[in-house]
Amino acid sequence: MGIDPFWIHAYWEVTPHDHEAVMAQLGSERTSAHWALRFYDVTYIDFDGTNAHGYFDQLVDLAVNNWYVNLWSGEKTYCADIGARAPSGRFEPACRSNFVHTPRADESPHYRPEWLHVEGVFDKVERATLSRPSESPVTAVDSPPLAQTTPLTMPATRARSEQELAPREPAPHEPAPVAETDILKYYGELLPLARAAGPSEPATAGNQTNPPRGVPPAASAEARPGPAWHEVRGGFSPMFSNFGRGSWAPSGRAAVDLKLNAEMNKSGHAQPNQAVQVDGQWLEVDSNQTFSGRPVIPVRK
Amino acid sequence: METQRRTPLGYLSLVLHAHLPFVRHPEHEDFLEEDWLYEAITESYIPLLWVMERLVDDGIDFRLTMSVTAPLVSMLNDELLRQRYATHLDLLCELAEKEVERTRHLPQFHATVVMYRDRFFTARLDYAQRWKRDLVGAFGRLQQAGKLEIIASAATHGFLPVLCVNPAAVRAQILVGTQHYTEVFGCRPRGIWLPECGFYPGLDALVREAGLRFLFVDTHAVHHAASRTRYGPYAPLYCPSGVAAFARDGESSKQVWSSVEGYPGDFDYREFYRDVGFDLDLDYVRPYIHKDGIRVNTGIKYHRITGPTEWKEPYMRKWALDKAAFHAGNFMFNRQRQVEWLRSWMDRKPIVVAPYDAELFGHWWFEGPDWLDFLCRKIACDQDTVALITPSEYLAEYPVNQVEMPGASSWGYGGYNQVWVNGANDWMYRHLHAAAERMVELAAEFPTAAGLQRRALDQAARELLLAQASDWAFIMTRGTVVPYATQRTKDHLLRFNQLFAMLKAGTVHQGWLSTVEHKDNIFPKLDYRVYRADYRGSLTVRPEEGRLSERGT
Repeated sequence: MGIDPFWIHAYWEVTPHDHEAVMAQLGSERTSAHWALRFYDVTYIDFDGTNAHGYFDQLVDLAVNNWYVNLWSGEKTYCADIGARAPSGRFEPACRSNFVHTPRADESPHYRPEWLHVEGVFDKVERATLSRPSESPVTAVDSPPLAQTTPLTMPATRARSEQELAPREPAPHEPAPVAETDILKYYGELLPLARAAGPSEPATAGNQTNPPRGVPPAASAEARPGPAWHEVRGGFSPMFSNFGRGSWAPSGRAAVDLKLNAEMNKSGHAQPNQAVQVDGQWLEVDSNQTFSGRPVIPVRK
Repeated sequence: METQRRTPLGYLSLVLHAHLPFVRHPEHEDFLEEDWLYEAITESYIPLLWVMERLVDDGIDFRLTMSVTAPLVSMLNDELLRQRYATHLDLLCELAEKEVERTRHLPQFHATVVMYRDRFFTARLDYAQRWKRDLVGAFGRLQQAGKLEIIASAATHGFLPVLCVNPAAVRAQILVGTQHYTEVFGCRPRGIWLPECGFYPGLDALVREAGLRFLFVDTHAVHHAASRTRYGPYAPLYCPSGVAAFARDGESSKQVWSSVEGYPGDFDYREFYRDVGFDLDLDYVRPYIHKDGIRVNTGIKYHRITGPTEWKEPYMRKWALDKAAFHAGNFMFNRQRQVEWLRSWMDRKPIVVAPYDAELFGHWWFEGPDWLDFLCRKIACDQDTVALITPSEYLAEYPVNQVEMPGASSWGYGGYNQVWVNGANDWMYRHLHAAAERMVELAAEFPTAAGLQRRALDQAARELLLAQASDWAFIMTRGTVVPYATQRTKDHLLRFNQLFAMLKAGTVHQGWLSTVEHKDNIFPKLDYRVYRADYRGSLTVRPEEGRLSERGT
């Protein structure tokens, strides 16, 4: 069970039969083996037992039967094996847990406003609102105009096209009409797709640098099958992980050193009295030190 | 003539969450924990009804949102508990009469006890004659009047983020809670109060399946959403499933909730922890406390908070009411400034969502209903900047909203799950999770049960739901009546496991089953097949168009 972004709780009960089976697998190493929880970081992937981003072990006493595990970052998905670990590093699992996704601990770096109009009980009221254009609640360019005749519209992320991925100026919102049943379908597809295209981040603690037996290093985002990150999530590419943490010019004019190979999306947070420049273009920084924009950025090779 | 609404700059949505755990012990003549219900009725639910009905009578245009959970509704509608409450109220009136005589020469207390006596007698009269013991129906009529929007909650207030190990258990909590609401109020709910404001990504899809339009999350669920939100907590988000998520506003919550900075801690307000049940001679109060001589709160309290001291001064009702009016004005002033500021950068009217436990008003904060009364009147009559609104009305006015998945969160200490999972209560969860798996197994094994077998399956589902109530874990964390919470958890799990074993063996003991059905009689129309993946029933049908109260009428 997840407790908060930095804590998860595991409980277990290993039957004598399972205990004996694990020990039998270890053979001569059984006397020096210690029971452990092996946590796999399976964030945004469909875990098949071999493709974890990394793992770490927590030695436990079986009789304790539960453990609180302290983590180092939120928004991760874990599952755990309980098993016996020999000094040689050999690990024999007894069983595997459910998946736990820890919450995000801070504000997301992404900004991808999409808008939805849910039909049904509120249609009547919407029509009434249409007759009073002065009270139109949504005027921004990325909001759908209220003069929608399609009863249910949703700018589904998966429907984003290559044109949207290409650098361009902000355009009026053009929601793709979808059937209501598509909402749930869309929702059902969202997480697996995002997982399949998620960022590859090595684990940062424990003995994660030694992949478990049979677990190859996590594949890179480019090599991983499935749709590209941008097709699913929008926003920043996982390659842009330094975004917003670039080298700041001592003059107070901030320079962001980025490696870009696709669209750079809109927003970020600067420090007081600093400005942001991306490839020669200055972005406007608001009074609250946030900036946004969609600059045209040449592709570097 | 009702006050007319003008065009405001923004909205305030007051949400009261009314919940008590299902405590009903027909096997005992006098059960201590049943007092929770009696105290809440006398001090919170009846005063709230008085406030709302007075506002309607006076033509004040107001909007409130209220969740009334299934366990609370079941207890309020239970004939045994109604009878016991009527007896409890009789005794309270008798004690108040005695206190009026006792304090006749104690002027510092006499006016206060006269106030109590009048309240108790009016409550007794209204409960018996005006509402005919049907408080749920009284709230329902306020909903029909378009002033109160009542929303559903999970079946037994299970804390869903820790039950989600088994999605079928979460689905059953939501569907059963929704179905119970429909049975009681005769219409479908539009929204749901997630127990303890506990949300996790994916829960919205189950809420959607139950035909619900909106839910509530805590502030940081929006701040920590999968991507940044345009309006923060001041406009709903549509989860990818299409369910709207309204976020709690931290500022307005703190003004009421905080024991240090909040209004209820004002020195002129009534002190909760000085009660004649503890202060007076045992022989004198013996008829009005537990029959075993255990001192309890009677509800008659003579002192004001006074300050951070053990010495308490006598309660001055007028001072307290003046302060409640002042605080209502202060709260409204802060909302006006908040809305003005929000409107300066938002291209729509903001909504400030302020949810509170209903039992805070009256029970813990004695003047809370008066504060609410003053606030509704001031908002309706004294200004044009902010107006009260329900979530449904806001969605009607703003049907287009940003799509984003809120982050996992709760309104408990720390903002996540640690209140309900910690060293004091973590032992429960292996049993709760295993029982949920077993219930799913039973539902799959017996797709078309009938007769005794069907009764046993339905009762197994009831026992599981009752064991899952978040109240037991919360009590264990708070360390208040831990033995009772532990016993309740174990009792329900043991009964469930016994039913599981009987069903597996094919020998259900009818006498024992009848006893258990009599004790745990919540959800009489429960269908155990709610734990089947293919269960549809009448619950997953889209909600029919309901009545939306028209603004300005």
